[in-house]
Amino acid sequence: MTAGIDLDNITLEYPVYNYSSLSIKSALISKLASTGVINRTSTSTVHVKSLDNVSLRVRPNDRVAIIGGNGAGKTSLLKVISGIYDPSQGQRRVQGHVTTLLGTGFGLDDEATGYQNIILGGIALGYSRKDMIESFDEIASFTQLGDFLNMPLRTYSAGMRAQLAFAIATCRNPEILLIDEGIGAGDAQFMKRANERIEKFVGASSILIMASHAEELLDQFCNKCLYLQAGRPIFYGDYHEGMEMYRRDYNLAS
Amino acid sequence: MSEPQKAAYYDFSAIPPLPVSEKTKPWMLFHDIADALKNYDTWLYMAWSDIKLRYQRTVLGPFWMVLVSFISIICIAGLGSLLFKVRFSDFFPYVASGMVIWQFISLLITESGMVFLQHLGIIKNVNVSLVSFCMRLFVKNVIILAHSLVVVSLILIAYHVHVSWSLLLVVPGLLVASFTSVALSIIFGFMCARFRDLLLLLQAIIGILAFMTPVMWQPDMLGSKAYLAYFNPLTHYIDILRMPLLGQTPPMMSYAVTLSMSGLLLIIAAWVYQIYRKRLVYWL
Repeated sequence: MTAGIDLDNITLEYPVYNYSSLSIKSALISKLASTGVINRTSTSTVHVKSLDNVSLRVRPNDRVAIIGGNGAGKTSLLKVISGIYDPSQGQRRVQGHVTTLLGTGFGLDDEATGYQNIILGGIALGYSRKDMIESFDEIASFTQLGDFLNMPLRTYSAGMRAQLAFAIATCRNPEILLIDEGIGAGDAQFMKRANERIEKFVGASSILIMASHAEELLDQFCNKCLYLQAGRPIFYGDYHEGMEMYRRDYNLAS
Repeated sequence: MSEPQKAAYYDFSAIPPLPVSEKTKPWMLFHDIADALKNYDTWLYMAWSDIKLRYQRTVLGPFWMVLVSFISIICIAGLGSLLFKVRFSDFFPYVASGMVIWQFISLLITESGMVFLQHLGIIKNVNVSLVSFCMRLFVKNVIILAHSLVVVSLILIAYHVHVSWSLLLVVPGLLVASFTSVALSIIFGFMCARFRDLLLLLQAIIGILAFMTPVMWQPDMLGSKAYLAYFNPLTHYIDILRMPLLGQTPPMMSYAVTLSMSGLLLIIAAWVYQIYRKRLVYWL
């Protein structure tokens, strides 16, 4: 079964709960208010439309960069593809195991050692404990963390955490890998190794989708580009063409 | 910034669509429970590592647990035997087993409110099985129960409580408890994620129930009003777990009550899960 992603006319609207609307009191008050007993300004929740009619077909060997300004819906789109968010409208079809690297907080524990975290993180991403134990050596040599893997995660620098998270997410040759910013914190050497690894598994007919503002990063990895503006797709196609458009819109010198 | 160009950006008609993926089924909760049971090593490992990490930087480790429960059992059994004028040696094994089982039940209930809130980092970043968090919670508390039972078994042996084959009835007791626990953690987990007040309410209620449930007193002590204790469903849960430890066979009535409670709660949980499963992530 080959990997693939289809999105048909996806619209995502979600409620934003502030602290007052998370409490019972305000829920009751808004109930009463709607029947006219108590007159108050509406406490109903605000809805945010973060994706507006997005369609996409991604097939093996596609390495898609998602670009756009802040709040353009990049992360929301990744969360819809991974199934964390359910689209309000439209259809999502995904074939293949989706591995998400949307942050370094996916089940890693500060008190646990690097090795323990490899298992914890791997399990959270849907791999088995046995798979992760088999990957110990490979992750150790990839991250070059050495003895640090026996130390608790709280002693790691931001860059080391990012490396470990990336290594955990990619060690089992993911079929579909979604990355959000995440790996920008690595040093130049790490970026080179990360690049080699991505080349390897994308070569094995997988899909990579990456949302980032870091152009050097996207330049290295991506061959296609989806440009979002306020949740609407503006361009999808050749990476350089899309990047060109994005730079023009944001007056960035190329 | 230029005007957003009209979407002439893609023509996917050349790419054949993927086959339609699965639709939402009714009773999604039971499908997801079945899936979670297949991936048992996931939540077993998670539960085990919860326990391991909790003791990571302590000297006495799990023995803290044992020590604290031992001291509190002695204090309460001593106080109880004076208050209710019963012999300490009769009361001690009863209170010891009751306290340990109560601790197990009350932790399961209070922590069930936190079951999703506690793991919001994972839930917001990975498409995970929510049910596996509920199983993890149950298994973690079974492990804690297991080391408290070390104290209880010592006390039972010291006081020559007749241990019989009925001890094996702990297993069906735990099985029934697991059904209830998974259902409750789905219900409370969703409710507390949506309304944070309920976490505090839950703790307050458990505090009251500790006195209203025959843990440190016996229903007979109520005299002609003994039947009142059996209106509390937790009495039956205590019975199906405690009586086997004391070498007694729990009454069929207790199994009937706890099993029907589990069934009812599972149906409510399935309903909550069906409606709110996909909204949970926005509440965290």
